[in-house]
Amino acid sequence: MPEQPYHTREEFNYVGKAGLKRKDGLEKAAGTALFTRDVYLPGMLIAKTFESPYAHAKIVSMDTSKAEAYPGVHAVLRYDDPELAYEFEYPSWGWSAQYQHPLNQIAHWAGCPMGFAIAAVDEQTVDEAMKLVEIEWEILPFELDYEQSAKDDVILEAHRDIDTNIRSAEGVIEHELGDVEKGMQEADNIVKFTYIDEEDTWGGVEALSCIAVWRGDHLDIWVHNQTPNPAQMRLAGYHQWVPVGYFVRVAPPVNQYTLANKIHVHSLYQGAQFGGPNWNTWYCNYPLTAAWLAKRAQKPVKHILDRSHFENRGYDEAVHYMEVGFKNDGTITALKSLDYGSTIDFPFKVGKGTGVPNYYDTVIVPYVNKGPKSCYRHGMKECGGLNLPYSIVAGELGMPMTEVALKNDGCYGNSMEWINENVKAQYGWTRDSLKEVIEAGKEAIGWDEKWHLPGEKKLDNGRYHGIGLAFSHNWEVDPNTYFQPNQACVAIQRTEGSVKLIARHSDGGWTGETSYCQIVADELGAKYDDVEIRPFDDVKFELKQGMGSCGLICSSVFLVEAARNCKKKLLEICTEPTGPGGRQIFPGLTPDDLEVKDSVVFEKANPDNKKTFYEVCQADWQFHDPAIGWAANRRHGMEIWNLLRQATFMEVEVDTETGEVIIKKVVNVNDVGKCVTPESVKGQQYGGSYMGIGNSRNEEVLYDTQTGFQINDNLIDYKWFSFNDIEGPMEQIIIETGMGYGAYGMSGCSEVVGALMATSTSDAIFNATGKRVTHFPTTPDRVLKALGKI
Amino acid sequence: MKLHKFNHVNPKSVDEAVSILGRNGGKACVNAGGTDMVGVLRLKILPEYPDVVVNLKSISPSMNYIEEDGNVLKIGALTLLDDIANNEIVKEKYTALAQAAHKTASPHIRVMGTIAGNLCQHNRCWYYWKKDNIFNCARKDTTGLCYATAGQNKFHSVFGAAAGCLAFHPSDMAPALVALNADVVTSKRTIPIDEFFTVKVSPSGAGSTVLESDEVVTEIQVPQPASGVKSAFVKFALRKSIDFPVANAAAAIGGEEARICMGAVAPNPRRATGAEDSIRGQSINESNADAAAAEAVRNAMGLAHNRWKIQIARAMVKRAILGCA
Amino acid sequence: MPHERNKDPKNISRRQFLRDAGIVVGGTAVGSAFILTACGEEKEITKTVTKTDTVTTTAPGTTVTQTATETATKYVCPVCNEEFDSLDELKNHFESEHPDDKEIKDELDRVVTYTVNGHQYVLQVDPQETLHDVLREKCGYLSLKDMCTGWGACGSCTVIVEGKPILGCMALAREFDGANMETSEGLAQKKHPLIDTYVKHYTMQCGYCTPGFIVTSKALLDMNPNPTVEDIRDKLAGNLCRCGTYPQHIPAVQEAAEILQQGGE
Repeated sequence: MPEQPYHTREEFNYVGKAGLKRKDGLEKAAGTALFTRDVYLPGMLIAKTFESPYAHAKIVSMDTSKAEAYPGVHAVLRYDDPELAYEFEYPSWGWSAQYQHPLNQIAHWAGCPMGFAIAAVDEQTVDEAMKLVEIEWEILPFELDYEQSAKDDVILEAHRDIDTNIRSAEGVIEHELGDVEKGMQEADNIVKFTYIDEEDTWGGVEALSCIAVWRGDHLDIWVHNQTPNPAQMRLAGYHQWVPVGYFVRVAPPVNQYTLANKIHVHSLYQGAQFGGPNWNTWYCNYPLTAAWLAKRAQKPVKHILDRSHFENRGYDEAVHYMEVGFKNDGTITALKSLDYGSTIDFPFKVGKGTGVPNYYDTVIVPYVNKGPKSCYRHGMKECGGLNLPYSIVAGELGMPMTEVALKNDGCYGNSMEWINENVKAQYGWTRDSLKEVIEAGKEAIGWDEKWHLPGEKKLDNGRYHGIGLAFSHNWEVDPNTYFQPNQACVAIQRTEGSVKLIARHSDGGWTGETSYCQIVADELGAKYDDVEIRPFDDVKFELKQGMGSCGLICSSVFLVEAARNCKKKLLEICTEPTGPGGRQIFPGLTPDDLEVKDSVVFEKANPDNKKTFYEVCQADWQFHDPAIGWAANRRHGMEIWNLLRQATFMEVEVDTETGEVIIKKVVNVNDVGKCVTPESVKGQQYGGSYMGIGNSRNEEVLYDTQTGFQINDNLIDYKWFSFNDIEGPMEQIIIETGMGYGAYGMSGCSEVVGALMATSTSDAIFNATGKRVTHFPTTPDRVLKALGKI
Repeated sequence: MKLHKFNHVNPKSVDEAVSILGRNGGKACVNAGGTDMVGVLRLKILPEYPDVVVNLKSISPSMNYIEEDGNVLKIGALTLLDDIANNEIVKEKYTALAQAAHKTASPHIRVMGTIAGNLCQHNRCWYYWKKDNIFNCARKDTTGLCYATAGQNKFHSVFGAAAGCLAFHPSDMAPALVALNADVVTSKRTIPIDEFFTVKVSPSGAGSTVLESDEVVTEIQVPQPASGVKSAFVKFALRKSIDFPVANAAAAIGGEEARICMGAVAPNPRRATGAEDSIRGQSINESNADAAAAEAVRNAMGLAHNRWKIQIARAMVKRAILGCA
Repeated sequence: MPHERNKDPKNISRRQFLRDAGIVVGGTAVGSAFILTACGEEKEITKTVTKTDTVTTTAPGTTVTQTATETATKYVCPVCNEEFDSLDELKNHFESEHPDDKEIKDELDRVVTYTVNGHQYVLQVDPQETLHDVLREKCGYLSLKDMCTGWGACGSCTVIVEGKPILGCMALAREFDGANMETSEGLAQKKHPLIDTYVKHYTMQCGYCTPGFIVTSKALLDMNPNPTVEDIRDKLAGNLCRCGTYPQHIPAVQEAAEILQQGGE
């Protein structure tokens, strides 16, 4: 069994306990928690970037002289200014064909920020000055539909001598396992179906902004980004290239850029980032614009965007032409899919989460004139490729989805037997996560009493009752995949023995401040109330929140190690000679003789021999080192498979006159390995459910095909779920199998909760009506269409 | 997004307000609750940005009241929707009105928004509402296009265009007032509700009612329904709160009376006279409600993306009728 | 007057020039307001008067003298220096006694008073400023957020005005002269039970929508001290939360209601 130093712990005072006071609760309740837009600096200018009126067009010439002369304008930055000489377009990460550039000469989507930016005394002055810029355009053809673009009927980038819309090797992505043709031959039945994911957008609640001010050649910049270091690197002249985390220097140091050690990035509370514009998307571009405008103006600049800048989309917009082959006992023998668009269903869900031994998936991602894709809560419908085939098989055979799920569970085509052997090898024991999850969920929702054959239960109120399920693995399965470099530091403050924690974390999720402090309190032996984390301020070195998607899994081991190092240092301080006189705080004892609990160091054999942290700090404090523990920047190489599962059970009523799907009950069951903060985990479960239901039932980006503009780029017409859109109760069940690869065996939770809502709803609609909706979101018109009413 | 500059007046009387409006010749606009007008201003959706905004809330005596005067319910133009929703007399005798008020928008908007403001609000077409007047459309400019015709028209009119415009009338109060046969009293005249709504091309945004540029609504008068007449209002929206209707319907039925009005399915609130004829005088049941609802949408014409609205409208008419049973 | 500022320096008035240049600051502080007269001179229209009362009480063997000091703001006419107890009275006086001085009337129209979280503010606001702008940028109450950037769709800018939870982004500042307002900072300052119950029930995640929800809940409890679950759902239906905290608002509001009913502050 591989060594797992962070994996087990005998007892917990705080980890796993409910009822602890939320660390950031008071400032958020009082409304005094600071977000990026709340930064106001004296003399601050407002800046905006011009938005393209065309979906695809090139600036041929641009006259900004009148704008530059307009009273109240302090700086104008143009696409051809020297600050941008080293910038170039680079494509988004992976499954997205859009280009990124701080101030592009070419607009790739309607409303795209490009061309020029203006900083002036107020917003009205910026708006008026923008109107004075004269641009000569070359209008280019545009396309919004992936499948249409893939046909290459109109070559969209012919003006750049590119002869296809499928841009190089990145435009065609294939995933393969086994022999899919053979698998189809072994099947008793084959069903073909089409599954469509419409586009949705990121979660953020605060419209993006960035404040930059130069003090000499030092740049202070407040970025709306939960991992500020990519922004820092961009400002130092690096591009973040694929794969994630690998930076390429594209500009010489100094010159118009500046060195990383003079860039002080501040990252305040984020406001529901959920990934989103966190990454290499153009988010990292507009801090550059803010910084250069501020440098030109020699005044603070606040660069603002508004709600219409919804461009950062989720990684799930595609048409999937799928085929599933299965035996009469529910075993799936093969899965095949041809996808046009952006989707990660197969690599991240099907592959990692099933025992299906044969599949072949081709994803074609042509260039289209839409905003860039990015990770945010990893695509809210991405489990379609996994759950829809299961649901279809279940429906065809008259079986409940629960049975088909269990029959086909596995990993990379391997069966449950393989999983169990693997787990036993890792831990010495094994548990069947999916089975436990499904059993707990079935009981909570009353599955056995309520399940019926599709379309068979009409209620007195005229609606049809349905019950459904979707499941998936937790975010990451492969050993060691997402153990990103990370850092943490735990320091006991000399003044009164309070404990300060320095670490980076994501704003939402259960990677929050509370969880971090619980772990540190337990490992160090401090009182929870004595531990604080305050991650906003620039701490002058790189802090990464390991992986957006599995924050706590990755961060936890660093917190554990940092806290243990701090404790080790503390006990050394207590027992080593101090100062010229050679006095010891605990005379005659060694570190092994001591223990720490409730912020008190005491002798194990004689607990009355004790000193509080404060007393330790005060004892000859100038003669010994501070108690600081640090853990940084290495992958610790734990080769553990993360085979935990989660499921969402849903009970609905379908109004067949209107196509409305009324949600009567939601049960989330998540195997999180080890729960740190129960309230936070549950918050992810119901919170992810609300977001996921919004994404899967109501949210879709709609375009005007005549101009290419998103036509519903506001929160009236783009429909996040409101309070009463889930009518019934929600129940959260936490399972702790301890099989994750985070500290104490923890795993992630929230990434996929939302993604299960779409397919659990679809499964429930099928159970209610006998009709399947595989076009998401399942808006009333699509339900009506499936019912044959329109 | 900050508002661009304008002048602002807090008039003390209706006469003063009307006088300012008259003096500014269409370049002034009124502000009641603010929940529509401020958005129009902030997003700069109109070709003509007003010079002056005239606050109606400063007028004294206040136009915020609900009182019964004999057989007529008199509601001041600036009465809050929340007050209408909670008023016991309205709930009991003018039920559709209370239900409509309660279903409008969100709780916050209901304690700001007024009955007259709700009737006079701008249409809710997303082309019309795109910021900075990116779509200078047929409703704002006689040379403009109706982009919804060939564009994304998922929520637009299923009963054709008016003055070349396919936008839908988004009010929830309007169908209820039409069903209850209300009158709109202005600073100049009294207008039956059936004649209040129109569609005209207007660069200053006054294209939803027959009001002249120097005319303000002062009161809504609702005749008490005859004995035996019940009223009901229903609404369908994608969300349970905040949203404008996909389709709504109000009905006032009893004895030989039947007035049914559909909203959000046409440029103006639409009387469903076919449905009225079908249900009038009958004892309401599922079957005849369904038949009447079918009549209501008989002449509906779906566009490329909105045929589903016909189905929804039909369901709403049916449920509004059943609400009067 | 056209809404766009006249950018030709030759046609700009001294007053406009001084204001555009940001030279005149007056009015951002609580309790004082300056206006510009026609010749560009600053004249303060507020005056703080202090009244001191001395009270002597006698008990057997002792004499105690206590001094009570009251301060009040008086509003001073910039033309005739007459003093008034309220801004409204000053404005009415000006309209009737000095009807021809349009420029000073415009200046006076810029002045509003609010009571926010128990503190009186005398402010100068432009016509296009909303309560959201003014409360944040002039009074420092940053709890009013901007989730939907001004579409009136989210409730994150909610402020209690005369007991009602309204959207600050849709409220023109000049239309609320004299109003009594509350924000979540005020609730925290006076330790309203909702603050603690929100923290206790983890009724926040990213925190952005939280102040909007809290003041909406407070307004609900003021109107309805014993709300049912349906009442809570009904009144909070206009607040959007992307993190999905919705279920937790119910126990937080219910517990705060209990505490208030038991006489807790």
